[in-house]
Amino acid sequence: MIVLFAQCRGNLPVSYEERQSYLRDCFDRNADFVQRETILYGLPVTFYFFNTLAAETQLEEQIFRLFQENESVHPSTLLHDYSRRQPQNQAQLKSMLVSGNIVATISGDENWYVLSLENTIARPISEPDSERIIRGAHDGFIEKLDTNIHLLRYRLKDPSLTVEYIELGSRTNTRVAIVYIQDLVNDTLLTEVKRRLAYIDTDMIISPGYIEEFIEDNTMSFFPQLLNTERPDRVEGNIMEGRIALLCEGTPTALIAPATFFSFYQSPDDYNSRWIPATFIRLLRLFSFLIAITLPAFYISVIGFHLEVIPNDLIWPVKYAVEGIPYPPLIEALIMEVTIELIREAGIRLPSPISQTIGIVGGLVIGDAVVQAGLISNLMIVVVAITAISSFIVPSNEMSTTVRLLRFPLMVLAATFGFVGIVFGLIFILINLCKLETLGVPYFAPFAPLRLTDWKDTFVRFPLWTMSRRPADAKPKLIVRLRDTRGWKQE
Amino acid sequence: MKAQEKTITPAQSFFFILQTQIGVSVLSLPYVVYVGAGTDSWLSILLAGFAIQLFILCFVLMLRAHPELNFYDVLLAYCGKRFGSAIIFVYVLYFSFVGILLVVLFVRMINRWVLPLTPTWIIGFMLVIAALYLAREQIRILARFNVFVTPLLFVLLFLITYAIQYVNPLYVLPLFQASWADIFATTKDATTAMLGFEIILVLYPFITGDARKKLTAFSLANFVLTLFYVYVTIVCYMFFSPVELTLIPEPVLYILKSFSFQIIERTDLLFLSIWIVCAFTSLVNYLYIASAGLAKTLKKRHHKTVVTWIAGLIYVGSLFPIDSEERVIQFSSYVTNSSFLFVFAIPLLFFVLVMTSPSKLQKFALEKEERN
Repeated sequence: MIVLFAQCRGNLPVSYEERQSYLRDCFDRNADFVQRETILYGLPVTFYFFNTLAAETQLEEQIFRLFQENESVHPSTLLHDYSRRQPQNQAQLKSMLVSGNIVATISGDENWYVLSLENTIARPISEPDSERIIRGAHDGFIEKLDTNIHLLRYRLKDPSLTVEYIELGSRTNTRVAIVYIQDLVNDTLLTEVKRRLAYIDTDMIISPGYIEEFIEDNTMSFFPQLLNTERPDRVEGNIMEGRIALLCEGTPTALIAPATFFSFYQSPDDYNSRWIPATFIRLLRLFSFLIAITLPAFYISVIGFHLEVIPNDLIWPVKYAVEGIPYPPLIEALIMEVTIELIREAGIRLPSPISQTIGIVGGLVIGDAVVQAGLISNLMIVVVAITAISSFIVPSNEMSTTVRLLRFPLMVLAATFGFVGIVFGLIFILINLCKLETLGVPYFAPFAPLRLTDWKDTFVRFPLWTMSRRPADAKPKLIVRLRDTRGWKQE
Repeated sequence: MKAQEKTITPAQSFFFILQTQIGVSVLSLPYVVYVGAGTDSWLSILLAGFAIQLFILCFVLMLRAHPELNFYDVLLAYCGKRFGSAIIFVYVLYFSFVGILLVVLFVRMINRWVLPLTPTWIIGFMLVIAALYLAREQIRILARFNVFVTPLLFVLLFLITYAIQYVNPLYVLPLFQASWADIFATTKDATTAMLGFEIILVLYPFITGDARKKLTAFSLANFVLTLFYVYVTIVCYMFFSPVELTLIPEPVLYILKSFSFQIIERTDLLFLSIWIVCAFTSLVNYLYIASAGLAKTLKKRHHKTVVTWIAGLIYVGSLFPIDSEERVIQFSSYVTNSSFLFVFAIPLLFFVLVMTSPSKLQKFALEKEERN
């Protein structure tokens, strides 16, 4: 325990009795505020704490036993050994109390003794539901920041792994950790992140979502520009590429900056499986991106404008399916897309036994009945189902939402201009991707700007031993990360 | 972390030029030159490519000595502030008119092939808005976009190559059916389809690297484009009989229209969708250099403030000449004829001036440096 002993009184009450009445005035309304007075070494000693935050049992087991064992020693000596830094003013004293410390005062002693005996209640470490993988580590971050840092340090036993704490939110006083590897991270990137964090002036930070919106470059874009993850291995991999992770007390989500478009399509699973299947899955994911945003639009424009692109043998089945549907294809598609979104949203909020029922009602009843009723063509059902599945393939929830949103403007454009509309919609999306820069790092790297050597870990995953260099987008200080790992072949 | 604001690599400039050159005219080029020199007109394209190569060399020689200046600065240095600005303004108008022509031809093509019933003004509006959205950005973002969409050209190349199984090589033989005079005369028509390389006049100072690297990139772009056009033209001439060629103004699309793949019919629609991107990049790049010129005459630091005006001018301009076929052709010939003045004659004049009296430019460069 760090002992920083300074005889600074500030405007804090000095005498034992004054302190007692001062703290009573401050926190008297709180039912969980405890003021525990005992006589030690013939001196009255009072311990102040919130019994919901501080560990009272530990106080009894550790401190009081210590006093019993060393009855001849002055309590200030004993407490001094346990005490952390002194409060400098009233605000500090209060914040120490509300963050779970036990504050002790001894009669006739001008010092404050701050004991950090926090009552740590945390759920066990478990795999995050939103980012499941098949092989590899199955641990995930939890709501305790210290545990999360432990998970990172435990994996990355690098002395230059640096963890800096800052406090954000004038009321919530949320502890935020900036985690990076000192000799990898680009210094300008780090100062830029800190500069932006320093501008955050708010009274509450509840989750990293707040920080994300405060520091991201383009809030008007559809695309998420910082990567959210609850997986320690994902954070580890990213900070090893010279990125910066922001962890926040009270949430299991870490923010990774800067993120590129392709980092949303990487999953730790890719590196645990062999590179050929991993590449296949990567390609599948990016293909799913295209399917998810364009398939309904493609359907609409084919039915509405360019029926002639359908091969001859397909004309009749398509015509048979679409005939008799009372709505134009756009309305048809919108009805089904909105229905799918409703089912999805209902499924998330409800407890799992009911959400299964929702799945059955949504999938079977609506899906089948809507065709029977002649409202929607069964071709449309196929299109919507494939689109929905494709949009859920993305390993990041934020990107998945983006993908689902992007299809709507494309559908409207397709209904208005056919293929021309889709092409213009895609041009707009592509311009936006080219435009975006997170913390000075191009979002669509390594495609725009083109950097062929970094393609090894994008829509393909090359064998790990070929990725001898870190991706250049975060501009890490050391670019080489492995040398001749398969040198045994030459022997 | 601030990335460099205004720099693109020579490799990016290669794609920049290629994408500017491949515009609307790729669809009709085989027809346009066929009218001039028959099946030998691919030779005209080669000659045009050669001529453009010479001009690229001149441009690089002109701008080599002061890599921080572009052609607009050269105009200011030799014509004085007032007159120089006036000439730049005329250039801005010229580039805007090229933009108008691009929009007009684009809209007509979409109207004829894809959306016959959609009002043309709305297609033009969409094109100009999308172009504005990109052209208001920094040059490196334009470069990223230009690089990214270039692989689409391979799809075009593949679709055209697919036609080779149906060709009859005898259609282009024997060579030299047309007279050399005709072949040379047709070079003029071929050159108009290859315009776009003049953007190097404006982009030159934004490109990193020495003059040799830049020249290599420019020349390679021109070389690739010339080969691409020659290839497309020859495939068209071997695919259609000489009689057919006089009847179809967009031979490339007619080739694709006849294909039938197992999964998709009407390949020309796929081709046109990709071609939209090519036409779009040309418009964006012209819009950018026009607004860069206007920003220079109005002494604005960023072109962002003026690009909207030019986009507005292009859109409004595109609404006028569209009502009849003759007026479109007339307008098109005005713009292409004026391009000889603006792209070849005037820069050549200033090339001679820079070569004969480089001191004036040197003085201008020094003054500019002092001001910064």
